[in-house]
Amino acid sequence: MAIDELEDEELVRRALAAGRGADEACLDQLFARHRARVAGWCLRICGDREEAADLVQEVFLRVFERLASFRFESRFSTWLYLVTRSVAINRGIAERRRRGLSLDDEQVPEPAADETPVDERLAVEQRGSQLRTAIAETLDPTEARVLYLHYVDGLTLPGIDRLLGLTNKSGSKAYIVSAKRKLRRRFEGADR
Amino acid sequence: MNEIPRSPGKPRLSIDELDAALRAGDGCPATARLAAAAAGELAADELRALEAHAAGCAACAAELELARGFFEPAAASAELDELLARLPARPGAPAPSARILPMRSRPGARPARRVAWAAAASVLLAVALGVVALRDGSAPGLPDRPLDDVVRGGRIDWTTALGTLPAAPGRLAWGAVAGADRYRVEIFGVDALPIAAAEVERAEWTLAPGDRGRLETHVTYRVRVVALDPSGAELAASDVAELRIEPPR
Ligand SMILES: [Zn+2]
Repeated sequence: MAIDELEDEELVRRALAAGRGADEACLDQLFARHRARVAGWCLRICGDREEAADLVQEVFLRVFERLASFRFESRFSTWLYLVTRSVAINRGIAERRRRGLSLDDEQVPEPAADETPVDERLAVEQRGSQLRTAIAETLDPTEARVLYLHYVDGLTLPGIDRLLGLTNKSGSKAYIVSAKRKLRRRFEGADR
Repeated sequence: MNEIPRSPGKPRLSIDELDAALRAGDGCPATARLAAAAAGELAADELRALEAHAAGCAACAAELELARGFFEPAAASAELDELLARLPARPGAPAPSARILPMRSRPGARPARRVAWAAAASVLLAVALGVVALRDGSAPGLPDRPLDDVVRGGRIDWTTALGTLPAAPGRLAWGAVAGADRYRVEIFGVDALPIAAAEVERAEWTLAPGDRGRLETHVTYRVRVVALDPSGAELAASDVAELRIEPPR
């Protein structure tokens, strides 16, 4: 059977069976098949061609290094997505940290969890559950998704616009502004 | 007593609070399940249940969107073509000498960003090898590294409890290494993918709520710390320790 007729998982199997001298042709085939998909997704979420090219290389570097940890419990492409997502998100979050992005574009001191007295920790937990309720009750679904993608997954606003296909005037920025306004009105006003 | 001074008035919303509140909760499917859903790998009934959940859960809905963006065919564009054209042939092919890549980034002709990820990847590779060693039951550690070139000191011992814990740790600490400029501490998830990392000056790391939130229950993570000298070269490294969160029932 010609190599280009083999399923992804079979290519992985052969590459792994070849061991240290990895079956180069199998790896080449996997790369050729999936690079456009990985590149398209990276380009969409980061927007910058240079950075996307860098990401794609990092993704495949990790994929081939860790091929042995693919468990054949899903399709290869699903695992490839998980690696791609992890590489992209880690980079996004690192970048966000580096720039010291905060909610007000001002530094917010991080609470030192272990030194926080119990009653204060309780207060923090209470604020957390109040905030979760406020998110569920006052935000519309798009606002909540945009907040999640930006603040948890570290995606940039233009990346979110492209991912969600937002075509309103200021795109995800408008959703972030309205979501923060709603949360502040409800949450900061309600606390204490 | 020394109370931390609090600013008067209403407490402001912090980015970490928002991050923690937005995150997936205990009832949320794992990211791998959401990816499988987007890939069309789930049976109809599991897919229905997952979509019903996502309809009321921003975290899962957003992750589904993110994954769907990967599995739907990318629109052809000149920009994508250009990107593909500039990719070298198969990056990341494990060269025969890849196993003994020094942990320190080597001075060379590559642009800085490349060097940064190449160095990160070699660290990951070493960690992955450490994990394999653990699984095999042989001595944990990072085999095949040129010790005199990279690790100049001994081993770093953890001073906070690791292993199975009832809750995500707020802080990780380890024995200080003489001459260390800073420490790089990293948590790796399944398949040795990094979950959280930091460089800290003291021999401890207070995890931000966001980092703690990334640690799921019933998942075995691996943790490692390395001491770096001012040039960024490694002075010492800890073993790859396991970390698992099992809340009391
Ligand atoms: Zn959910």
